[in-house]
Amino acid sequence: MQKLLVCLVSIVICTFPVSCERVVDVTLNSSMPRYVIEGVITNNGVCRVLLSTSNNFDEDNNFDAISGATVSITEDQGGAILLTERKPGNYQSAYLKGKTGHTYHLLVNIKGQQFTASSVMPPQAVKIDSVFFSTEILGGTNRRIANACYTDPPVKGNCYRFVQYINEHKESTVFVDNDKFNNGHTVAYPLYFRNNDDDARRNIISGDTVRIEMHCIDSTLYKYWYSLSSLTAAVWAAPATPSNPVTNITGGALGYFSAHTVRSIRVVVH
Amino acid sequence: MKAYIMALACLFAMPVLAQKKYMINSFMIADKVIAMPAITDIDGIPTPPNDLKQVTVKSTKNNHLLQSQTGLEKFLLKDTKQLPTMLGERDILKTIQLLPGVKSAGDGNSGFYVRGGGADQNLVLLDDAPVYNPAHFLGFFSTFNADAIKEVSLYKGAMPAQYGGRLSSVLDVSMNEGDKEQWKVSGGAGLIATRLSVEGPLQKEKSSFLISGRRTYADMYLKLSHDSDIRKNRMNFYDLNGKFSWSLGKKDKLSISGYTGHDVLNLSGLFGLNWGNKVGAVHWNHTFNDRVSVNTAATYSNYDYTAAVTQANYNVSMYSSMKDVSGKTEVIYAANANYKMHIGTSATYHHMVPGNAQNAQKGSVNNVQQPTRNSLENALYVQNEWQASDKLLLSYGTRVTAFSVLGTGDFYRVDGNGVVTDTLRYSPGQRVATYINLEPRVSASFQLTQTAAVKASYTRNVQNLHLIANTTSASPTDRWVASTNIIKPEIADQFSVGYYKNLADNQYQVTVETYYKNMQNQIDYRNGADVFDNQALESKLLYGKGRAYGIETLIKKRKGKLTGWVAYTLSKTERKIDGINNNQWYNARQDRTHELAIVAAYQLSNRFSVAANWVFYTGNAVTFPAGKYIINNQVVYYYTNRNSYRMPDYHRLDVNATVSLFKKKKFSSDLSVGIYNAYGRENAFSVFFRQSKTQPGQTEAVQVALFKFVPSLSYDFKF
Repeated sequence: MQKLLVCLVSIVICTFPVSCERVVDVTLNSSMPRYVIEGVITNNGVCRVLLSTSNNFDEDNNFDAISGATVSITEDQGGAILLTERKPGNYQSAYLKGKTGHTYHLLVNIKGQQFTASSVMPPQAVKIDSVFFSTEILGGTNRRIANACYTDPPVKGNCYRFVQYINEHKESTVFVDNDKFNNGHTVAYPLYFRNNDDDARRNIISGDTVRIEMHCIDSTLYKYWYSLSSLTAAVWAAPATPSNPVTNITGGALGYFSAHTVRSIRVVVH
Repeated sequence: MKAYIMALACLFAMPVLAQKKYMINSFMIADKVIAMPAITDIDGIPTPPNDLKQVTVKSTKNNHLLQSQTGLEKFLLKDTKQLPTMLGERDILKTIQLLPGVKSAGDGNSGFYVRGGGADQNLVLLDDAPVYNPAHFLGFFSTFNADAIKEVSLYKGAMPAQYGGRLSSVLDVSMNEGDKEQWKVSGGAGLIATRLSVEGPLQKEKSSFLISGRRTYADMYLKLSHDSDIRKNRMNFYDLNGKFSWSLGKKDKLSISGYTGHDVLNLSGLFGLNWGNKVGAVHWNHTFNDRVSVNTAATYSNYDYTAAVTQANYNVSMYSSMKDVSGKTEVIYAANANYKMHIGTSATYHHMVPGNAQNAQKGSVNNVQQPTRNSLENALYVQNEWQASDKLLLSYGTRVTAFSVLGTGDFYRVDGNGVVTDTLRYSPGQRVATYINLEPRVSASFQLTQTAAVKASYTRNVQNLHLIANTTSASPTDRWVASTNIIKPEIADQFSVGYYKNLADNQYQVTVETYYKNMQNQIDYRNGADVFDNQALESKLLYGKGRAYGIETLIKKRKGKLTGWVAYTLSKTERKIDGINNNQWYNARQDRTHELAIVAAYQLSNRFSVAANWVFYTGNAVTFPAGKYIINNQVVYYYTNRNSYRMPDYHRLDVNATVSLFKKKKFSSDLSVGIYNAYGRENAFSVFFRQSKTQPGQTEAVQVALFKFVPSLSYDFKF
């Protein structure tokens, strides 16, 4: 389905080669700093929660880390495990290992404010069987794209996220997929991205090492990543009214808490 | 003028005159009484005086004082001939956007907003058949080939009870009828399209036909590209209109009209979009006597849309469609010159395919069959027009609509968080819900003096078909849906008051109208809804109310070498939807405070004329970020209130010059040259935000404009 959107966007871009871009001054309101929580627990030993605050639009990209918070994660009905602050705003646990099929509950306390979230690690760690590269016409230019092939389990409702690294340089595009249109099939998922900042490191050329991570995520996280990806969509496909991604954190913080599986594949482009 | 009076005289259904053709040798106009020696019939035989009843013929042409309607704009297509065009294509949808109270949806978008309503709240009719997507080329042109169109009426509210089904407006477009006397051929070529119309009698004075076609050759420009991939692209559209009319004896008229049009956009044979409309109408008019006549019509409308990807390892298409079959009949009873009544009934069957993903070959995509949606819309209406006194004209009526949602299909119950709690399965034809609504309306006009009038109106409208769209431009994710057990009919109540004045011997018309519109059951997407995940659309929607109010002024110069108008609108339109903006009122996207259009045409000589229009409007209400934060090592923007910012102001000048190359009775031809956006203003199509390339760590706003200057050239001929 992402392919259809990409197709629409490409068509439009090619139809109007005369569009003109320029940087403009827009006066934006300032906003109260908001807490940002990014919590991850995986089946391969990562258990990490990052805490930071938002900035005004006209400030630089140095975001204050939040130190001194109390962060704990509880597995199903077990006891709470306290995470340790390893670096400013970076809380980790070396003991807690995520297990497939289990539910995890996050509790964060920042200066007396409580934030909670729950996430289910999907029961199966689906992996990428193979990767092939295809040449696609995107926005009027030819570009090579990785296609991740995997087999979707017969049960309905699986959701995935892919992360692509080219020579260990992470691609910023958010790739999400679910089995709505291909339940139980062998799927070739195309990792489309728009190189909108013309960064040569993002393009795939012969000799590059491409590593793709496949995460099995729960449906609330699919909603989060999907709504985040629509914010960065091309002008033509951008939502008419952008809004903050649909978070699974209660208490008024931005961000997400995700329990997911991770499987990687590494290939060299010929 | 004479022809006009004749036509009107026929309309007023004089019993004797309807039987025979007459020559009116003289007539009275307004208060100048001219004695009429005799009226002869077409063969010159004088008519016995007692055969003639006194007939009051009112010329409504350009006399808006004599209509009871507020917010009605009527014009003949031939009157818009000199106006500037986009790439040489005259476009009625672009022309109506220059009128007060009508807002353009922006460059590259044929949608329009009337008095604060959404783009889907306009009923667009072609010979009474609804046209669901009157756009070509992603909205740069409309489906109305100007050569095939005779007249356009736009009701911005206060529409008579004959019309229903949309909240904001009715755009009633009527097709030309072929000439019953002689053959005519006309046509032309613009920068991107060529047109040809042929009309003539099938049987002299009794029946006629008109066939009108248009085809673009925009693909040719692609062939000029150096890039072989671009040369493989296809983009074209065509329109074909046809109309056949018969006079069957003295009391019956029959016409059959049809339109078909289609767009194809294809990228290197890999991606394709195509969409099209097919509409048809059969009209039968029967006159019983001088007081009673009956109009009966059957119409058909089909709009479909396909987006497809065809590649070696991936082959999928998404199809959606909307089909209407409708029948209606109306009795017109004219008791006397001062009282007229329309009573009618209509039934429409809607069949919708909301979006099927289909896998054309064995691949990785399951066919996802969305449940088709069927519904039946029945209406009964009465509309009266009563000249209560010399000065007071009243028009009042009501419409009763019954909208039945029918099976087959699954319908849902959804909790407050948009989670489906129950799935209700209905068998074919089973009734899911019926919504019955009373839609009263009343308008009154009071003539203050010979040249001034005030009018007031109240109208309730109901809408049961909703376009759910979440992107700034038309996209495959825009879907028409009918009301369901959860999606309730939209309702609007509009109050309007206006003052109308003619000046300088009717050379100038001045209109000032105000309106207030209250809307219920308005629909919007929940934040972050996955529009492709379309199992239960109801789980992605939120409902609330809306309000719109404003003042519209129009100064029109109708005669002389210089003609044109100045239209200024000051307005506000807002929504209040639970779950958006902390349930507070917020600006609708199409809320624009100021809107100004200046349109002028100047006849330099018999052969030369020039025209220009200048438009200015406040930018749309949009959502910009209020801050930024880091997620996944990426900078993400943080949003607070929906639609609390403004796009930059929009303004644009279009100019056009027309020269008559050849003007003889048998053959005439014109050449038009113009520039759209003459001073090359880069109007913002959108504004997006990105990390600055020049100042690391900073964020910048980038404006995208679609085009600067667009030239236009068109050659038209007639013989």
